[in-house]
Amino acid sequence: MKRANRPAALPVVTPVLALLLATPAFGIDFQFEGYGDIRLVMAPKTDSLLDGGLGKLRFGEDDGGIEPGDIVGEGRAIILPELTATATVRANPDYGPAVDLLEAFVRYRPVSTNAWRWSVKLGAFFPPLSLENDQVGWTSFWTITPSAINSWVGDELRILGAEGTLEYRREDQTITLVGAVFGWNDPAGVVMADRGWDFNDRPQGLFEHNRLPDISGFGAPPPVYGKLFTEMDGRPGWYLDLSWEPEDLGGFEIMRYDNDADPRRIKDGQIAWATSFWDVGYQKQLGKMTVLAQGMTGSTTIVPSDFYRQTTDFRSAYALVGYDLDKWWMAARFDVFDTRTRATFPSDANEDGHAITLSMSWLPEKWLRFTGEMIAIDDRRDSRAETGEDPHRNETQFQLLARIYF
Amino acid sequence: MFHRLLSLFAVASAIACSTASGGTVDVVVTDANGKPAANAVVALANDTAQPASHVPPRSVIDQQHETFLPLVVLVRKGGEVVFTNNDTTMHQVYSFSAIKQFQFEIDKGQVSKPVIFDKAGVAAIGCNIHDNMVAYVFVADAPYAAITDAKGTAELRDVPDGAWHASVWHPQSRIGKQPAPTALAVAGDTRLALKIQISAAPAMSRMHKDY
Repeated sequence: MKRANRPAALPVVTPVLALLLATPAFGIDFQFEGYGDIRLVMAPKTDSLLDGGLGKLRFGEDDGGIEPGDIVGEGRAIILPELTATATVRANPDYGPAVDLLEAFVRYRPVSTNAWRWSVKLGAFFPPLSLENDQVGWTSFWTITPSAINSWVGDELRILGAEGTLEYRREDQTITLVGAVFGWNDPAGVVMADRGWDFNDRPQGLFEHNRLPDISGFGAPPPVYGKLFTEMDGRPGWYLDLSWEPEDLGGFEIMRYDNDADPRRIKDGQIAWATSFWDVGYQKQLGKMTVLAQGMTGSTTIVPSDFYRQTTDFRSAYALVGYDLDKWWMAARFDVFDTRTRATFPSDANEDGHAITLSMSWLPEKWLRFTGEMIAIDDRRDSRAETGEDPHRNETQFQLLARIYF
Repeated sequence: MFHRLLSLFAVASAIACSTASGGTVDVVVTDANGKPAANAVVALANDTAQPASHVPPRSVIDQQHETFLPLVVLVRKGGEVVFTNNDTTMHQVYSFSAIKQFQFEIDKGQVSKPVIFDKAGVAAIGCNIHDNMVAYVFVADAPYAAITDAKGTAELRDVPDGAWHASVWHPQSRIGKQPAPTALAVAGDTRLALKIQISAAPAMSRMHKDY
């Protein structure tokens, strides 16, 4: 994997931004919200995933103490009541581009006065599979750091394309079918194969160079970068997501995702990763208690030559129990994860692990949130032996976050 | 002297009338844990009373900070609801409820045309732009109805003595899980305690992204 050049302008994002900038302000409502945060961090003495290591956490041996977090702003233009344009911008001087986009899309949703409602979305956005990340800037209400599943979604997946939604609404239940066709995500899978699962609340920016593990360079001097949001084979990917929310039983969700990349395609020194997965989710509120559970199983494949084929199977699941006391809330989550790589030549990219996350938040004012969080991970990743490290690790990260909403 | 006699007569008549017409029914609504249930609608009906005679004919729902205020309004069957927008953004108000379907756009500072509710029941109201906005219009055909306050209490005035049945509804009571009407004998001022099973308000609503 070679160090990437600066990514070209994203074909789907550009017209969305152009629309945002070119639309006359008269008669359009603009809304803006976001947050900025700062953290007190106690990091493990291992290498952070953001520094090219095989650690599982955002912070590592080079971090600790006061860490400036992110400033995230989400702007929306209500062009018509049925037509809105949304862009989410992140500023973080510490890592990656100082300013980057997380999402930028337009949504058209005609009002409906019967049980059926449809809408379409065009641009760059997250797939709708996270049960945790439903707050401004794709953050979680319950914890600072999302589960392994949703960390990976933030790490590698972004939908650059069109999504359609059809809802059937009744007083006692709602059924929603979401389908999308997208491009520019053919390298998705490389992080899962080379680094495995992680726990990271910093989703990949759309214009950001993706820092891959140093061992992905096959001896090239670090850092090693890739371009995640690029089209390589001209074949669109797709997903279908079906959710059912009966009033008494909670919410059920199932998704099939396939980026339909051509695993033989090599372009600009990058390989296309054919990645597909099933995701299932369940959520239920019982009084002040909320239960979230998700499971994912999938695979990613490359065939860089007639003589080599590699497939990494990946699985993870979590259960989160949250307790909400209005100004205070707490959450406990248990994650399990593994990967298995089958290749023409023997591979050492397998991993097994589990993690416990405990979190407590306090909202003294509507604009101010404090969250304390601990993540303890116990895992084994065989490829750590390549750099002389012990494949087995225990990593623990503490964070105390102060986040101001605006 | 004549005026004094007239005044005394008037007071005596008022007392007599109030005794003859019954009294005030003080209602307390609690949830399954005994905690006050605010925003519950309590209705009193019997076989003979005039429909909706003591229920407001008109209510107002305001919009502020991407929220409908109040959460629940009450109108009599055939009554009307007016929407005002004191927010900093436009809204697209709609309902697909069985008793009433409508939609309109309302810009900042505007007042809507009255929306007539000519069927009894509950209409859930939403905004097509801001998904977390919700309000409920309770359309009563019972002669007496009131909404509970933060203490779970409501007052139904001038209820005639006699046999009534009291029903209660809450926006978080599940479809088909509302309690059966309670028999109530009104004899002057009367107290009534009602229980209703309500589901928890959605967690995370304080900071929920709505688009």
